[in-house]
Amino acid sequence: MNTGLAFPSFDEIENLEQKAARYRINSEKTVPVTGPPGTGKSTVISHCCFDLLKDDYFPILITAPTNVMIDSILSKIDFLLQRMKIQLPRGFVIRYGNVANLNRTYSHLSKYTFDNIVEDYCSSCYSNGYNDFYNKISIAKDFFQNARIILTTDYSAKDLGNIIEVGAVIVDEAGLVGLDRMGMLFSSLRDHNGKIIVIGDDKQLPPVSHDYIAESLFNRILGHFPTTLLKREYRFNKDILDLINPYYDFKLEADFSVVNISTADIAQKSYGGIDNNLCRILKHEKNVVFVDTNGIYKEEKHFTNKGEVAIVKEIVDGCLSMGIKDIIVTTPYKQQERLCNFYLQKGIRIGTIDEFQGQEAEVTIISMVRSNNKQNYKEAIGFVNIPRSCVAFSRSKRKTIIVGDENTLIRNEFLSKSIDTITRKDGFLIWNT
Amino acid sequence: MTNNNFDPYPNNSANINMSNNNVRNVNSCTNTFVFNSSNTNISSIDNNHNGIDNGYTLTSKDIIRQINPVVIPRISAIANMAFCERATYNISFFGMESDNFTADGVIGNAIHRIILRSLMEITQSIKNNSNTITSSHFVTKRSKAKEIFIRNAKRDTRINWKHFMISNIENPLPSILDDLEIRADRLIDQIFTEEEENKTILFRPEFTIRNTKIPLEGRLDLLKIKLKKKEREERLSRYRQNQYLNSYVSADDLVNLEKESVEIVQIKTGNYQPRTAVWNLQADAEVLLLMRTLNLKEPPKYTWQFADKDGNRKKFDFAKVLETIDKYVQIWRSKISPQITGFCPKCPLRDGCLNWAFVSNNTLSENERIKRNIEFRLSKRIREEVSLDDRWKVYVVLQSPEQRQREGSAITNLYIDTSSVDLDKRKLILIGDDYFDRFLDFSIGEHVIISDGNPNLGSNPNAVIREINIDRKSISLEFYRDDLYYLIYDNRDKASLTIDRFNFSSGLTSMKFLDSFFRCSSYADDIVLKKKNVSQERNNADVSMRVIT
Repeated sequence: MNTGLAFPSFDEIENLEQKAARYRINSEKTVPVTGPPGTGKSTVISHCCFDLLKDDYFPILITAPTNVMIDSILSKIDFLLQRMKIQLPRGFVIRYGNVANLNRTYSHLSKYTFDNIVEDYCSSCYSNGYNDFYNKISIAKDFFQNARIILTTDYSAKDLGNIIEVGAVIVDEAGLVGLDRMGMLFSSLRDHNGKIIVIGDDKQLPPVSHDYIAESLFNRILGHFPTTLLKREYRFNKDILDLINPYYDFKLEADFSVVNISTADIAQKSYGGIDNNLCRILKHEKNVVFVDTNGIYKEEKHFTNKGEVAIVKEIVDGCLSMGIKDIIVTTPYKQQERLCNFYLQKGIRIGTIDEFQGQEAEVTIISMVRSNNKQNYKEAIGFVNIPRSCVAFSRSKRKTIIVGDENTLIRNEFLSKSIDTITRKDGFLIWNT
Repeated sequence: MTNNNFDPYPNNSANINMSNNNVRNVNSCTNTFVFNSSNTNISSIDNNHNGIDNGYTLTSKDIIRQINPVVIPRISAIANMAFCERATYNISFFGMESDNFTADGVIGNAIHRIILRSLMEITQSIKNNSNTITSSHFVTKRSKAKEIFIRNAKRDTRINWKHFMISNIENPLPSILDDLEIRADRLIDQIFTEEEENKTILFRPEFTIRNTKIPLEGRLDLLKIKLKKKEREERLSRYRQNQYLNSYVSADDLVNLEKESVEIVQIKTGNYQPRTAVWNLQADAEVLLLMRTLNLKEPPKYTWQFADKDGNRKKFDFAKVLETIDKYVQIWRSKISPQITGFCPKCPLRDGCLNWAFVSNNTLSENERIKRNIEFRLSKRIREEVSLDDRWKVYVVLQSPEQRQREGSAITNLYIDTSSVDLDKRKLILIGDDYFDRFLDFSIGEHVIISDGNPNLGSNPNAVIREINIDRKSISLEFYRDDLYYLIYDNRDKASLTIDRFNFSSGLTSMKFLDSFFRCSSYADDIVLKKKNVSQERNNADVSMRVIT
């Protein structure tokens, strides 16, 4: 394995905060980086892992809570390598674990998957007359022990404890990683000089386990170490940013490259239908829209709202007719997700808000479900808290459409403020039946 | 169904009846628990986690908790705790891994897989009169059968190379072949001696029983069911008439079939060794569980199959099993930390419970005692939380497959696309019916269990969903444990199948790690302190409220 590769610097594509984060990663042992949605967390990871390699912190274990997230980081690393025309030896970067998503979404990256690396090597041995398959195990182990960058989910990382010790651990979306998993990752470090880099957003959703002892270790680390906040976001336009900015104390700013983006840039045509509701909702200049069901469609058993599903379906059809295909439909409730799956066109990404943390789309449609007359706001709104709303609002690049009952939702202070913000931007619409 | 009369909301007011008139009443510190083996009352955990409310939001766990699922420990856990109460506080009590990983386990599992698969292949060949085995010459037959064992051993090491690699075993084949060298000859002799009989014996590998009537979960390595003469002749005549199609008997139907004899075979790695008391109790619990599940009047034959010879369990002590279950429930429901001190000098479990060492309460300061109680409750909470997830598989049996499909947690009426079966890559495709796309809650990468419709009973392999094609109404599966072959012997591939969500391995890992991490880490103190402060604040608030009112 060639370990003496020289990696060029990638300074030209970084902003000030990203540079600061990189500087700290190079000089400190434990570095927390806070990155709100779309602020380039994956970019920082992909860049700094090459810095760490230069400083002999290898192998580097890069983890994230889901395969989708880890595949996204791998694509960034590959992008850098392609841009710099760097050819790495086989097995230098290894993607370990469930690669179903990778094979589907980034099929060109399957060369990095562990199985493919080992199988390719064994096939080449086989074709050269070397046919001792028992050695496949030691070959595979060698690949692991000589790898420089290993990408896997924090769950799959547990498999590797017996065979490798790492020089640096980078944990993406660390806010989602529970205390136990995080501890497991840290224990894979070779020695006390190893680097720990945790990147996430403490304002987004906590670990899935609600047990308080499984609270995010990320929050604890943030309390003990100075944090670098990535505040320039590269995902969504200014209107969407304004929806979530209060939550980040107005520290975030949209990069000039995205500040004015809208559906006009990607739609093949404007909405040509006759539905008055859709004409208003799908206007290119409306980047944030609240569709008020006006209490007509009440929530039903198991937190479902069929009326909202019908509205969402019409909006989705409208978007598709405009040629906008990259759409996320999300909702806080599993049963509502099931209903959407049942009624909406196949091929649209549908899921609960929690599932979509870390993902993005051109347009997001959110069905808020709750519509009731309950006085207690907790009973009225349920578990749609600030982090969950924040995740939901920040998935889209160009347009966020929220479908819900204003009278119910305004009982939550954050949602009430968000609806006010949308109203100020002329995005508040009442659905006419 | 095993749980026709299952009541998900049992009352808490019955007694424990046992066949030997040994009646016990169990009183825990807070609740009176009731386990009545003659009716359907079952244990459920106490779900009032007082004092740990920190404003968390509603999650799937909360929903499962509201459903009030049943906690069913594994048989091995029950057997362990019968001999050491401290084991009850160990994670292994719930059938989860608690010891450090050893290579022996991996090799043993491989031998297990190879034996079962080879046995199934050989008997299947005999049943089908296939060329693989049949030969007029006994020596030829014998050598062909032995080849199957060796071929499967090589195949297993080739296919499961990744398992061996992450276990740090570089060359597993010699160890596996050592065991098989002795065992294969012996098994082949048995199979050919009973050749004609084998044609009508029903084999069920890895037969899982989760029974809520006796709150235990068991996994039997191999179940051999010999049918009564009438039933047998009927089946033989079907073979002769070449009506082999649809001859598969589903796990639920096994209950009503007229059975002449049943044998449980538990495969043990290595040569013969004397059975321990734990093994005996485990065997008794397994026999009792199977008797209740399959409506057997007599205890089935119980065989430990070592590499060199078999061992049999002849006398069964069912009273001890029931007493142990009773004890489990009592401990499970208790809310105070155990008064266990030191280690037993002659511990039958050896290192089984060393993780739970307690010093005497008398030697502790007040603060230390508080800390211990908090730690105990916290650890108990961890075990409860994870076991709730773990018991999802128990929860699913409460509804019919069709009902589960309607709710999105299962897909039923699936048939194997036989042309898609790839044994080497461990993949196959299931084709659904018109209602296929009614499923709403499955996605690629998810773990599923494949069954006749009851995931808690039968030989049900696990797989990962690799592709879902709505247009073709198909779902592509990859079997990570190499147990695909359960679905293709005895013409099971013609039977209707159901898949249910099944993913508890993450729970096991988290729990194991969390439990030890909690007790070893400096964070534990922080957490305990936090918990203490929260409790203190709450108490203060309560006092203030009382004063005001």
